[in-house]
Amino acid sequence: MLIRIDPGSDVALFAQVAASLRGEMAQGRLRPGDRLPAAREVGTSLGVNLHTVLRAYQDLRDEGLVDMRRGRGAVVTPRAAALSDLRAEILALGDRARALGMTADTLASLVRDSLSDGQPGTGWPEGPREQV
Amino acid sequence: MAASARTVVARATWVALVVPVVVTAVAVALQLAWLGSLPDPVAIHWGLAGGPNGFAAAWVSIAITSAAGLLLPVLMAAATIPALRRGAQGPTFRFMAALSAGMSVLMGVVATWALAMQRGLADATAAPSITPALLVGLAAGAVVGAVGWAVQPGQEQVIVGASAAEPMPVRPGERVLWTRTATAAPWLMLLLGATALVTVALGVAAWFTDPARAWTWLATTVVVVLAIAGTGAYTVRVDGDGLTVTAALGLPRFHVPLAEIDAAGTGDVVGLGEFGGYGIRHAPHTTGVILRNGPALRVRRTDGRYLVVTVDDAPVAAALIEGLVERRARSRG
Repeated sequence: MLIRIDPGSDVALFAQVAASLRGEMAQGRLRPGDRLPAAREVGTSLGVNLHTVLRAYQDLRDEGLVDMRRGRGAVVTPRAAALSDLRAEILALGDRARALGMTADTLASLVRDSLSDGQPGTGWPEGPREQV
Repeated sequence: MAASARTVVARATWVALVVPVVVTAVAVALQLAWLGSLPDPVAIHWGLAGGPNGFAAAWVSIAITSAAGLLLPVLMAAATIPALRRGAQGPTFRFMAALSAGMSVLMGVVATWALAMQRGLADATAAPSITPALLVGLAAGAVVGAVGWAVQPGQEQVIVGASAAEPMPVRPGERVLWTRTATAAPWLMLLLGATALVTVALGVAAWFTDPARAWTWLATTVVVVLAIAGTGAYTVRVDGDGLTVTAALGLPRFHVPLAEIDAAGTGDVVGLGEFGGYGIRHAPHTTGVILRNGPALRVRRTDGRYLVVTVDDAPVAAALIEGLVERRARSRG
């Protein structure tokens, strides 16, 4: 299981930790039933506060991706398998968006909007970009 | 220089398997031929004082001779020859084959001699000391072992699937953690678990017959349980500090600081053939946390020594270590 964070990035550290773990689930390297390492150890290794790691774990719990029980730690739920089921489609979508010259932010906001309540996205670039 | 794989496999098969099978077959044939002239029961165990103190029917001796003479060679051959066929080789493979031949000769000589000296006796309690049989058996085993070593080609360590990792790019300032639990092969845990159960059963049995011996078995059980605890699972961690391998109990623990890592790669482990067994193992210039056969992380320290861990996803760990080492080298100019 690989976690990468960049303190120089604008994204909050807890969000980066959560995103790393989601990515591992999507790639099938974290599977249902796997236990996440103790938050304290993750914090020590990454040089971040214990509460930053716990916040990431709580986000994943709120998304139903991990189950947190006293004494057992955080355990990946069967729902994580759904992430890896979507992986092929997500990769294909990413390839398509790249071919169309879309930025990652644009695609992300479109996907986010499509999942909310049908509000049209606002992230289209100003006019089509040319791929060189 | 790597010896020809074909020669290595052929000689190892002769030394590790054919010689023990022939030696054991001869020993069993002799014992069978003597069945008519042996006392019943025969002595099968001798005390430290030299006289016999354990007795059983003659077929028990034959069964023990077959099992003791064949078990180790068959296990050894099954565990190492398929790997030799895939191209693995090294001094430990050579040694284990020679050990297999030597041990079978020791077993065969001692068990057969023990029965030979009881031929014509009316009562096995009159059997003489086993010491000469032991001394001759040890000498013969050593000689056969040495010959078994000599007839195999000299071989450098060859690791199947050995490859250096391509560094995974790590940006300046980025922090990384890779962690994974390395678990023991199920058969290894079954073997240790069965051993623990046997020692417990023998301890309980001894409690009713010889309480003093029960304590010995209890101590043995404790040793086996500790072996299980030290073999069951290790956490393998790669981060800015380097590589850390920690047993589930917290100890033993192995740490290689990033500054002392020269290179990381992967390669297949054959526990018996490369390390002579499983668990925490030492081989020339190498420490191994060997919990199963197969792909392993191999890290070379700057002083030339290796740390080897049989962990899944080793290529990711090796690539990350290489990336961290490269970033460190870059930042130091």
